[in-house]
Amino acid sequence: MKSGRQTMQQIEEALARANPVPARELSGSGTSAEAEALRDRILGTLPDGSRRHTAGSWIPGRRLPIRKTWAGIAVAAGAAITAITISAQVPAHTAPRPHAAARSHPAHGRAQLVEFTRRDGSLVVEITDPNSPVSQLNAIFKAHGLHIKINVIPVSPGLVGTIIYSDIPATRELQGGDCRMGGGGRCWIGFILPPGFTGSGNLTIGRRARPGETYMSTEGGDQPRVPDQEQP
Amino acid sequence: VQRGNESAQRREDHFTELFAGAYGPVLGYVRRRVGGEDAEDIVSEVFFTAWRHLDRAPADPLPWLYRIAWHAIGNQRRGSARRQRLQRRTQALASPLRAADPADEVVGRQALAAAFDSLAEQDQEVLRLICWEGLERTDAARVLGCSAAAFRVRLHRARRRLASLVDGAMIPGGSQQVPVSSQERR
Repeated sequence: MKSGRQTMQQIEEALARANPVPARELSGSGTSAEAEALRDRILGTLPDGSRRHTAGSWIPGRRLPIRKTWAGIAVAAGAAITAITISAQVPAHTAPRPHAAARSHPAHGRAQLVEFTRRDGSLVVEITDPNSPVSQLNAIFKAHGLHIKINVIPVSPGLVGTIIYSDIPATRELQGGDCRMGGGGRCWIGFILPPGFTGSGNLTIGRRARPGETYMSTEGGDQPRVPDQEQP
Repeated sequence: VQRGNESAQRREDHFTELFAGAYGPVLGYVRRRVGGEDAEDIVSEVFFTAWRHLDRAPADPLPWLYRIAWHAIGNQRRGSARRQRLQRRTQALASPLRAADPADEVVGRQALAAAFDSLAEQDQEVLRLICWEGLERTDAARVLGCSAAAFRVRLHRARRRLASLVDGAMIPGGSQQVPVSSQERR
């Protein structure tokens, strides 16, 4: 048996060697595509305090005085029509980006988690990153005074970014893309809330399945509105 | 308005600089404790939080970010009840060893893994901060939100407990056994 000091040193050396992610394996990770995507998402989406807030722009995640945000105006005036479309990080065929010129979101042209677009006085909302943490998506809707709870489920690739289920009352669906839901209808890529919407509801969005994860919804067939467990 | 834009730009530049320097270390910190998609979510949460509270970021932001990550990991564990850190640790300590006697390496590896696993979470984290993150004690103390003196006591106790747990076992390392890192195996 070695002395206590030697043994402790040996133990710590063994622990250090057992480091599952050595620092050298992470060199360059700060400039990886994943890192840059995250950075852009953050810079374009999260609140940075009131200094960047100007009329016509929205600082997500921060509840602003309704009169100061066009989104708030739209909701408060009962003129809001919200459409949620899914675009970024989903197959191009399911990701139209309507009315780009009318979009109202922070400047810098960075990727958004959610984009709100005004359309003839109504409000179009796009969830551009269905793989974002649900808590962040929910926070954004909450900040807009919209009581819509987002849920995400793993789906087959063709359904990533589409709306799988919605119980939001009095909504109109926004169809698009090439994929087909049950019954042959085109996938929902968004939906429209009635003017003056003050209700609440749940929205389930398809996200990319993790390795080995079971799809909870797949394309085609007699797919129910509320998906059952299905095999990939 | 122009002043506001300049301020926003400075803030953005500040974050960009922080992000560039800290992304890798934070990613490593998180991946050493949780695995898979959860790690991505936590890293994302760390930097979103950092962005929201950028004014509080110290000149050396790593301990501050690690502390945010530590809280996020705690929330994730409580929320999901997953225990991926155990899986991660098992994977880590089950890394192939280069040794003269295969029996010794198995015994030593298992002894170290079992000893480390049986430590209290706080003891494990103290040792991880030193052995895996390579932090100085003062920085490690910041991560845990304690004084440097308190951290020294925690470290001493964690070391003593680990040493007593592996007492008499053939520890993988030193001249007899040397773990081979994943990079070395490539």
